[in-house]
Amino acid sequence: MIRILTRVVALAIAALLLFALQQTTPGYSEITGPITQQGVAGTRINARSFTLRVEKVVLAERLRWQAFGRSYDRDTGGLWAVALVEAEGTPSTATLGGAVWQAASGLRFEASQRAEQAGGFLRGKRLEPGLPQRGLLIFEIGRDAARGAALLVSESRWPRLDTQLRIALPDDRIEQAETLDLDTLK
Amino acid sequence: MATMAFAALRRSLASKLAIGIGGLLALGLTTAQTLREAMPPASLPVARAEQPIEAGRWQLVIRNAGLDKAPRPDGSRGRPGMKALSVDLDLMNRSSESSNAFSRILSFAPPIAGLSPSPTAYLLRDGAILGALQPGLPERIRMVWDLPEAAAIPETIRVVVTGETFKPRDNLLAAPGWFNPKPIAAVTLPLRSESSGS
Repeated sequence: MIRILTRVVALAIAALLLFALQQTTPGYSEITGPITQQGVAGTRINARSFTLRVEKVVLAERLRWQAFGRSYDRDTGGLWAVALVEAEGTPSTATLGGAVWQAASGLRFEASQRAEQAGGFLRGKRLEPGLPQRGLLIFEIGRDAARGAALLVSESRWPRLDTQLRIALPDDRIEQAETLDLDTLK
Repeated sequence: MATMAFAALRRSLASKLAIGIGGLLALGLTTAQTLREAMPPASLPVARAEQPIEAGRWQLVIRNAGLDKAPRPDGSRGRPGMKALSVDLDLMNRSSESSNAFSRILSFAPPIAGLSPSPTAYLLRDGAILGALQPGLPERIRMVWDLPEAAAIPETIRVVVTGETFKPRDNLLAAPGWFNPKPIAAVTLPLRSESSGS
C-alpha cells in the first residue's frame, strides 16, 4: 500500500515539475529577442552600433513645421511627444530603424509616420561615426501614456539578438507646450 | 487444444475490430470538426452603420459608403477611366502596438466585379495616406477602392468585417500575434450619390 502511494506521489511530483518546466521555458522569439540595455534620459548610452543621448522630451497638442516650401500643421487625438536626441554611429555607419514610445501600461507607440516629413526626423536616417547628429523622434501617444514612459531605440525595426536601448524618461526631462514649432527646436 | 486456439483467435479478432472501429470513429470526428471549423458561419451577425463593431485588433464604426469621382482626400484624382468606391469609418487600434494591418478588414459580399483587390486608406485628419494607427487613438479614415468607370454597382452594398484572434504565442516563433481571420459581422449600406459625395 505504502509502495503504491509513494509511486503515485512520485508521479505527481514529476508531472508538476515537467509542467513547471514547460511553463517557464522561454519561447524562441524571447531567446532570440532584443538585448535590452537600460539607460536614462540625459546620459549618453552606447548600443552595439550607435550611441544616443536623449536631451529632453516636449509634449504638445499641435505640431508645426516647414518642409518642401509649405507649412505643415498637425493636430492629434492624443498628444505629440517629441524627443530631442543626439546620436552617432559607432564604430561605423548605422541606421536608426526602430524607435518606440513604451507607455507605463505597456502600450507601444512607434515613431509616427504622420511627422516623417519634418526636418530632423531621425528614424530611418543614417548615423555616421564621428559626426554626432541632433534630431527628433516624434511620437503620437495617448494622453495617459505620457508619464512614466520609456523610449526603445534600436538599429533595426524589430531587433533580434541586437541591442535595444531602453531609456527611462524622468519627469524633469519632460516639457509641455501648446503648439510646438519643430523648426525652433534644432 | 483446438478450442483454446479458437478462443485466442476470437479474442484477437475482437480486439482488432475494436481498435479499428475506435480509430475510424476518431478520424471521422476530427475530420468533421475540421470541416465545421473551415466552413463560414451560416449567418453573420448583422450590424448597423454607426454601431461599434469589435473585430479582433480593430474596433470600427462604419459611417457611410459612396461612389464618387471627386478628388480623394489627398487631392489626387485616381487613374483615368476609374471611379472610386469609398467607405468612411472610425477605426481604433485595440492591440498594444502600432499597426498598419487594416487593408483586409473590409470586404464586400456579394463581391463587386472589377474592384481593386485592396483599398487605399486615407487619414481624413491630415488628408494624407494613412501610415499606421497608434493603439487606443481612434481616427476617422476613408478606404478607397478603384473600380472601372463602366462597372455596374448596386444601390446598396453589403460590407463584411473580418476579425482576427490574438494568440499570446504563435506556433512557429512563440511570439504574440493576430491570426485566423474570420468574418465577424456584416453591414448593409446605401451608396451615397455621386453629386453629394465630398
